Amino acid sequence: MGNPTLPSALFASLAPADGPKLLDDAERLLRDGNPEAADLRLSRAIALAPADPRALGLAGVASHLSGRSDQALRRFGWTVHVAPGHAAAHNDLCEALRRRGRLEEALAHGRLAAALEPDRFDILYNLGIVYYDRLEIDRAILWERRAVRLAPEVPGPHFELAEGLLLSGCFPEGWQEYEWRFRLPGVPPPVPPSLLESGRPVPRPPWDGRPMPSERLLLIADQGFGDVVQFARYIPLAERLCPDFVIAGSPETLPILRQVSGGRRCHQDWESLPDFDRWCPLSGLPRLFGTTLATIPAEIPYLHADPERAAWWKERLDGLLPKGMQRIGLVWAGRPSHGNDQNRSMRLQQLKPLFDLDKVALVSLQVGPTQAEIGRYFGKAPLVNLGAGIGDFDDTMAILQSLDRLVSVDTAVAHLAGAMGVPTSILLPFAPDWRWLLKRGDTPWYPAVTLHRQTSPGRWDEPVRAMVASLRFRRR
Amino acid sequence: MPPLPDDRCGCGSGLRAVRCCRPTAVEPPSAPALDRIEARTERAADAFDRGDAATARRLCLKILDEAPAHADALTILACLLQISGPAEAAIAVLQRIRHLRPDDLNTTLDLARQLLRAARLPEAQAQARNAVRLDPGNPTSHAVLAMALTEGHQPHAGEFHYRQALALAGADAVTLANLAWNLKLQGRIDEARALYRQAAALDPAIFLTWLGWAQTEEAGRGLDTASRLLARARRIDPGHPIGGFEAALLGRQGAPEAALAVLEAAVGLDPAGLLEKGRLLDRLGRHDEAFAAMVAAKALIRQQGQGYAEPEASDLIARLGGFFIAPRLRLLPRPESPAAGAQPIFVTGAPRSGTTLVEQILSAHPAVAGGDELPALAQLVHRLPRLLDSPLAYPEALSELWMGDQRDGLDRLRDEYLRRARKLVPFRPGNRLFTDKMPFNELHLGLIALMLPAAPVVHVLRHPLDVVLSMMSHNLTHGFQCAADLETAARHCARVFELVGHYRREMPLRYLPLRYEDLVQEFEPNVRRLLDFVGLRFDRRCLRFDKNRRYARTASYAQVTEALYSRSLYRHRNYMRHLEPVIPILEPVIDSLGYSV
Repeated sequence: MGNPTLPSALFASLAPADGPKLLDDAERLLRDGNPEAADLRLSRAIALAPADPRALGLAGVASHLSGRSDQALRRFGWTVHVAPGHAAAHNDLCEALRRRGRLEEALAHGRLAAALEPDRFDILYNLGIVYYDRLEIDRAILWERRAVRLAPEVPGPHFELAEGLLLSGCFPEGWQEYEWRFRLPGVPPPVPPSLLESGRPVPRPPWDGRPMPSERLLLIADQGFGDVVQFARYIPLAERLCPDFVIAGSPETLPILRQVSGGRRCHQDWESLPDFDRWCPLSGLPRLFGTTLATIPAEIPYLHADPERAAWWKERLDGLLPKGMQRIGLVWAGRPSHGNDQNRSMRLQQLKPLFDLDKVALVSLQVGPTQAEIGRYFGKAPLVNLGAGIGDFDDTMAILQSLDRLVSVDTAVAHLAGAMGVPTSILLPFAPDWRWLLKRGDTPWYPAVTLHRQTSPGRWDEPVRAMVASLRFRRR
Repeated sequence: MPPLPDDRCGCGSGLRAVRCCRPTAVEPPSAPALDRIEARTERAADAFDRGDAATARRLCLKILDEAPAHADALTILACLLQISGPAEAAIAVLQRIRHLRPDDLNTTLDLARQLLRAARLPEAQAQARNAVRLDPGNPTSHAVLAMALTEGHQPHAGEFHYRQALALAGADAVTLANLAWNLKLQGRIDEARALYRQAAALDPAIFLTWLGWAQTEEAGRGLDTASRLLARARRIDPGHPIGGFEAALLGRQGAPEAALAVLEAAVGLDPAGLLEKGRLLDRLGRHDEAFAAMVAAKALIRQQGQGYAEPEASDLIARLGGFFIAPRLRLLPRPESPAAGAQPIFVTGAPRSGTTLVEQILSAHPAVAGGDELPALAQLVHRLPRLLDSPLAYPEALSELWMGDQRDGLDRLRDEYLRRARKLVPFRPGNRLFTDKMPFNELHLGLIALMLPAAPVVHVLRHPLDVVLSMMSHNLTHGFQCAADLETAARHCARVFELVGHYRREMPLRYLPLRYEDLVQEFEPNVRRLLDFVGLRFDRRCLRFDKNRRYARTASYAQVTEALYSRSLYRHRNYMRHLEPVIPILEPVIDSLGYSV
């Protein structure tokens, strides 16, 4: 007897021998990025063979790729149930659990998978990531090294190894491994290959860090906006070696890039670029300059608000907020499409202890859909929503200049404040991005920034309490 | 559906609908018919003069069935209807006469008075203005307009016209007493008292003079004097229903049982009496009976024609949400020049949420004048399309601000608001701020933020179930008359709450949410927070708001003369069974505010 929830016609049209073909088709569709069509075939295959671990595993992948994480978790869980000795099943379940923040269970299944098939690099890679999320960085590095040994040409383990090394402060090796970032699946190259080849018999090579007094260097503002802010400090250093340089960046980054390079050198599309001889992404400059913990260039401030725009926003804020109150800017969520957003972002309400501070006025610089949370803010401190009026980073910098402090999660605004020397409290997830290093409450990248870290995954109460306590202490 | 030929008109005039409010074309009467009509008109007039109302009415109906536009017959019928009602019919007939004879002063005045009686204030005011236009030398025209303005929350303008009437006709007891009531509404208790004394001396036999004087003394905290004056009023007209006020007075004097006894002895309580009874029963802990009295009062209020104008409310709120969105607002200009003179503090919130208390605290500060429930913003909204020369309604008319010749529009709107508001505010020397605490002004937060971006907006919040319960225990017209029923009050509160959230998401506001419960439980820290927010130094007088001699002219005036009390906190818990129907409506608001059910 079949699954009673499926129409009997399905069974009439299928024979058990169709199963493998369905699975092959589904696998192909998954590879082609069509999880919905794959899911259709997998549902049929599971109807024919409800305990087939391959079908269940693939179905879990289809659910995961379709964004149905609950279903994915159930399907992977069922796969492990029917095939407890199947390493791939444990590996899939490990990853699904990790993404849900269930790190204990993820670790158990990851270790089981590694024990069952210790020679599969993808299992060791996933296990390394679980250790990173658990902030057991030495183990994360260990497992990623093993994965790299098994598959030296696969970029994922190299990149995770880089994250672990950089987070630990092992910059020289970390920068080397970090170079694998552009080879990760789905990541476009920093410069289109056609542009590198254009008009040259040999593609233009990347810059090796040596002086180029008479050649032109192309710098690319790569990665996220926060990275652009962080690495923009290297542009004057690059200029000393290569006086003739141009920068390519997205329109959003231009207010930042113009300040450190002069507006005429900035380009927002590949077509407008002048000819160049070598190239380098901004995120590659720390490696070329051999940056170590002791040599991070931190001449703060290296970004400034436009005086006219700052005056306009100050006048606006003076009208919106009473005098004599400490003005604290707020950003509680980053771009939702960021890979680690569910860990780094919080809800406005989780900042509640901040709302009870006396003589404090809150200024929201939050943009995007989470701005809607302001409509449900009823804290004691007045809160002004400026997010709706922010057009670009020039506005953000102008507002930051009028604040006494910024309280932010790990977002580009926090980097901007750090680069401007605005006192800033950054709230970090348990396993933070590599740049915030381990355990310390300060950061060599931005001397005016104080870090408040989660002490257990997903729990914001502790760092928020610590941040508020430190603000109270500073006001004494 | 068109009326059938013999259907009587719904207005109650006694005429067929097709000869009254839903007229159809009528052939002109023939010559013999004309003679018959004229003869009937004379007989109707004779009957009216003899006091034979039934004959007069029967004849008028016959005449008007044949000649619906016969002005004399309409006039006689209007007189009869003004005497015996229904009021709606009297108004309908008077409007028809006015249409026929637009320059007839008496008809215009009668119409204005009838509209006033029916609480149709904007229409009453329009007709009273017409009367003044027709004859500015007529004291009655001024007196009627004064009444319309006074009742329509414009007592300052009303005072002007009472004084015009007195200057034109000399002092008479009724106009003096009316002026005294007007001054009482402005919080000028001492002047009002002096005028009542003068009016009573001129004619001591007018019941309303003594009643109004008693109410003035009660407002001025002279409760014993008020009792004495009320006794005097009762001697003049023992049959006049005054139970509601007497009970309120006894309640304030700490005798709720006696107050209740007064109301229970009264026959056929009006809505005010029933609501007072409800409040007294609540104080005595008899909650089921209290709620029953409130429900009965609201049923009467609805019978009188008051009810939530839900289609209008939901339409306006939807359009406000659609207009005030961040991308559009970024393109709007800001006021070009700063406004001079005293600036407003908007104390917003649902009625009965604590706005009067907040205003009383603020106006105890020497820098703040208490403006009370100012109609200025609503008037501005009404006039906004004309001010911006727009063919669109509010809020869409604000689109004119994109036009090159309307770039100063926000300055003009702001100045018009300030001009209207300042006329109504009783300023004292040193006042540089004034409060505007019209409930539900938060509906217009977007407009406030555009034209007065630096004006502080204090949004007083209270447990929504307490708010709607308290709205049930008072007769309120705010918020499209939503308080006429429990569920409509809840629906309107939820709608407005949602809109406020929208404004806060879409635009920068100088906005402070202030919980009534916090204010009651942690008074001084919250008073300090409030003063900080509006930009004032702390002043200890604000902690003794009950000593603020200012008379708050709203339903909460009695409470704010008492020291802070907490018996109003979470009162809804005694009424959960009765409030059950509105819990699903208010639950999202309750959750958002962090309260519990």
